[in-house]
Amino acid sequence: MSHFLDRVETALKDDDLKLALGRATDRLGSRRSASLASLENSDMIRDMARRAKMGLLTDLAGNLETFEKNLIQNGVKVHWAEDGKAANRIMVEIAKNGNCKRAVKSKSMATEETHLNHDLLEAGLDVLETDLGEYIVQLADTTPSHIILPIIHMTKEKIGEIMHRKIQVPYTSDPEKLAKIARAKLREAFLSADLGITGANFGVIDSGTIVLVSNEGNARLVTTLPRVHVVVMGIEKLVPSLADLDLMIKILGRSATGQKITTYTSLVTGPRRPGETDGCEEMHVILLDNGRSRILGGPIAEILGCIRCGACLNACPVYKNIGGHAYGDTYPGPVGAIVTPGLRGIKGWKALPDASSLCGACKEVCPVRLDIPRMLLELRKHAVEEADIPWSLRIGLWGFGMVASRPWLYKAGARLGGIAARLMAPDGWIRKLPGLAGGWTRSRDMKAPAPKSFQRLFLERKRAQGGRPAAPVAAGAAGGKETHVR
Amino acid sequence: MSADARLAILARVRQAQVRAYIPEAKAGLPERLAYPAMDADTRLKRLEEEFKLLGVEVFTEASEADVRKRVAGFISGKAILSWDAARLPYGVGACLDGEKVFYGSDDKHVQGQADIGLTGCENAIAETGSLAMTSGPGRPRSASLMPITHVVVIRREDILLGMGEFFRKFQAGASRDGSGLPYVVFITGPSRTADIELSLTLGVHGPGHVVAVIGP
Repeated sequence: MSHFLDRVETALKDDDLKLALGRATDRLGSRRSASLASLENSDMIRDMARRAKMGLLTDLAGNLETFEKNLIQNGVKVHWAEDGKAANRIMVEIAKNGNCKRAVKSKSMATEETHLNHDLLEAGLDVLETDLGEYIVQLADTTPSHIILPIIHMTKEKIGEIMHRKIQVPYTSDPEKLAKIARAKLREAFLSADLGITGANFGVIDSGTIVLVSNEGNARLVTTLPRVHVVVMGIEKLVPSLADLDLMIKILGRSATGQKITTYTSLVTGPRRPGETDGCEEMHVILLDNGRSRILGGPIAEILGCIRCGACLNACPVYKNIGGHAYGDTYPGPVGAIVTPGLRGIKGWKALPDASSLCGACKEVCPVRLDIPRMLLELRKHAVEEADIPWSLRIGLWGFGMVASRPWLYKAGARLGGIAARLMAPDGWIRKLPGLAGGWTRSRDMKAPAPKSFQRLFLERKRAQGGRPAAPVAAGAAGGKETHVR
Repeated sequence: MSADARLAILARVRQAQVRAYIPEAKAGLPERLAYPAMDADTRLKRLEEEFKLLGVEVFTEASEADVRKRVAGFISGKAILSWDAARLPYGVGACLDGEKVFYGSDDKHVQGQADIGLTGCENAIAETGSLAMTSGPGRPRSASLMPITHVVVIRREDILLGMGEFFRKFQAGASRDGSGLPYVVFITGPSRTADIELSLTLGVHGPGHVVAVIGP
């Protein structure tokens, strides 16, 4: 796979992408603020939601066992998958045992993570995405670029062209007409499908319920029409009770799109009951680990409380510029920069936690107040401990350590460095530093250090006042930090 | 295979949760979210307001006869997918006489041909303008889902303020008869998508037009 920086460069050159991203994220961001402002006690509700999510992690194993027991009591078959491959294998087996030929899916990040569609097609199963955005993603043979708006990166003209080319309908770029075409196409598929696949927004432990939210209604169709329903969910997606679900629902829609509540919130508690005429006859839940237990056992366990609203994406100045694909895996944005290295290991994903200015906008908007900047720092620290560090950096850090721990050497070095730097800067600005330090001046000028160092000023004052020194004026001492950005 | 995976995952999680760094919750939070008491008229007003914001067409009728008249006006002459007549409140089932009606027991392809869905609801949630639908015998999920128009009849006494009150009712019920929660869907306005350039499109999978008739 391509390198993070190459993907960023490609994204930055794409003007359409930046325009679409900017528009969408700004609009979602301001809708979010307005709708949270209209929620009474929203701060308290967020704190309570956080408490519920964090609380269940302290005994996730026990909670999973209770959840499993309640699912089974509701007539659901429960499966456990160590990784994505295992989850897909279980899915194929369920399909074969149930004699299913055609699957319809509603949007699920967990099955994106396991690359389920690929494995199902390989096993000879027909599988169709039914969320409008995901349907177009599937037609275009690409991947979603935003957790809740999968085709945020495409123009309507491009979407019209994809539908014209892939399903042979007359070209149009009118969103309403495009949606109508998709409705008709997908309705046929819903009626003929025998397998419905969904993720889960939440699993309610004490009632054994799978909760799905959607604005379009496809999650309802998927859980109403096909004979077999299979849920793929991460082991962290639990909430203790229906009372806690109430808290989550209050903040999820508001944080995601600024709606008080998503149009449809479905609570599926087992297969259809006696006397019912619709709903699945057979229901399965696949509980997926795929790296989550590893995340739990360390300093970024908190990220397992994420409810996947996407608010941190919309708030992130980096995401707004580079979009979702640059992050290289299922989960983009600030949450992805933590989840991806967490699930897959830091090796190969070191660049993600680095791609943040730690401005804190993500933490500010997170409905469950995840401390994303703290976790990014933890991952950076981890990367330094684990990953390959170039020899130049190793020697540099060793050298700095040696100098900084010997005051006489540090003083001498600082004086010499100051003299050399001022020689390089007749007008007070250094245009180019030599050797490895040249990286610093590649995109900016550096101000020459002040003629007198902080330590010199400090001493002089101390002498002049005959004892206790007052703090020297900071301006001269801080001179070296100023920069000219080119 | 899955049994081995179960043991392995649970063992790993058990080990991990001991080492996990999980921040402390903020102190002084209430145990449960409280719902303020609200009289029936205020609840009704709030529900009407939320419906209007969502683009739900709403009619509040003073008598049972008015409810039936209003419903008849919407469904007459159309192909209707309906709850069983006996399940509809205010005797609205009578409006189905002489009309072309499909039921949950019909083949789903046949149900798919209906223009209009007719249902009652378990509760309406004033705070968000949501319909709380539960499914059961004679109350198919398809009726509020497949047709492009959904007409729902709401009994005034079934209006609750928040979703939490609805859940509390079921938690109490579930412990009484042990049958657990039925399939529930909260419907809040027409089906919508903003996937294409954020432009709002209604009726992409579910109904694009929702009509609420609130009875006395």
